[in-house]
Amino acid sequence: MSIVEIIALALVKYGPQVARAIYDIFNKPSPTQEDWDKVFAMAEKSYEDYVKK
Amino acid sequence: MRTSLFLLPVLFLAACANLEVNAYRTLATTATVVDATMQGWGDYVKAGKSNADEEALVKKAYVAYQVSMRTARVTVESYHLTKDATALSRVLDALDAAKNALIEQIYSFKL
Repeated sequence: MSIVEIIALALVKYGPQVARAIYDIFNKPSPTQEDWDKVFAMAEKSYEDYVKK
Repeated sequence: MRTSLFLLPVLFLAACANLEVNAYRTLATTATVVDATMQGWGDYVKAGKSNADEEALVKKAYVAYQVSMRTARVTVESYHLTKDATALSRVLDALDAAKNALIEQIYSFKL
């Protein structure tokens, strides 16, 4: 499966914002420390951050 | 269709020579997909459509995913020194499994 197909699947399943984010990820020739930090920060969101009103 | 997105890490590692760039692509895509899925789950919970048992199951799966992501972080950071591609590959497989388990859990009862 090509990257284009993966991004297309992401667009259908998750919408344009996620598809665009994946496109940007693949267009980075070399991630910076800031890029890495953003990834790990995303994964550190607590469960409550998502469900709390 | 959902299975195809789950195959992402394997495709990334097989396709390209630069392991660190591929690790970034795998981890970043995984985090992005999980974040989007959890946002959907959060909307579902806030709408009052879930019950306590379902929330407990999703929370457990999400915490397991976070543990895998932290392990991946340590392995990626140590890869600069160790150059242990096998360890990196193993950790990314474990992360993929945790991600899949979380998404499958949410989709098992989310309509």
